[in-house]
Amino acid sequence: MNISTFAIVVHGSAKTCESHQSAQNFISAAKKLGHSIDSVFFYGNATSITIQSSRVCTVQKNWLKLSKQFQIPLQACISNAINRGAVDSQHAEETGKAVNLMDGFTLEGLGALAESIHNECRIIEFGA
Amino acid sequence: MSTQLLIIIDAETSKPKASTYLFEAIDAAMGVAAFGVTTSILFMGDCVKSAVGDDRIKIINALEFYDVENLYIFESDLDRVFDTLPLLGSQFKVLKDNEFSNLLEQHAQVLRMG
Repeated sequence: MNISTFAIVVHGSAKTCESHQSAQNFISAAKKLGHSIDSVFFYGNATSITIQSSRVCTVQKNWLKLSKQFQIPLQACISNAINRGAVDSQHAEETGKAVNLMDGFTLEGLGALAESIHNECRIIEFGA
Repeated sequence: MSTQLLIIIDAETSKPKASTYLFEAIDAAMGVAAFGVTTSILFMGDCVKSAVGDDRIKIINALEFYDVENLYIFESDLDRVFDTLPLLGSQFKVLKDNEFSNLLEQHAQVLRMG
């Protein structure tokens, strides 16, 4: 069997669609078969998953578990995330707002997605 | 040789925040193109109205400066959305429905946004 390297792109809010759960199931299945996962990139409404709240939802917990278990970077588009209320340490310094980015997620530019494309990963999208 | 990426944008303009999704999708195209990925955009469905109509998104005119030179739309979408065909910018290529599979084959990666 050919081993592939996948880059996962997730759209859609975890509250309104199943794209996150589908992506997580795919990653677990792919890893069982020996494939590699280069990264997970959250775009659009999916970036809301990076925001810490008083109740950590199951979907967030599962992302962090997968990331730790398989060393997969969880990257969210920085402009989309900030537009949806995420605040990382740099944005907090600039605006005076409190950091609310959940540990384990990072905010990245589109260069991160471009890098996966250049690395010839197979991009698998889970949409809204 | 850079990787060929096709971004399919099918934001339905009737949905809430459709213009946000449309702009974010175009942003993504410009963003990855800036990092050397050869990027094309296919506008599908009723978002062609925003792409080529009277309320054309001005940023589309700037796409060629970000090396996003190939913009595609389907003839059937134009017919469906417009009573009379709008004047298209030279960067737009009109496709027949049966050319979709060829378009996909020409690109190593395809992302759908909107």
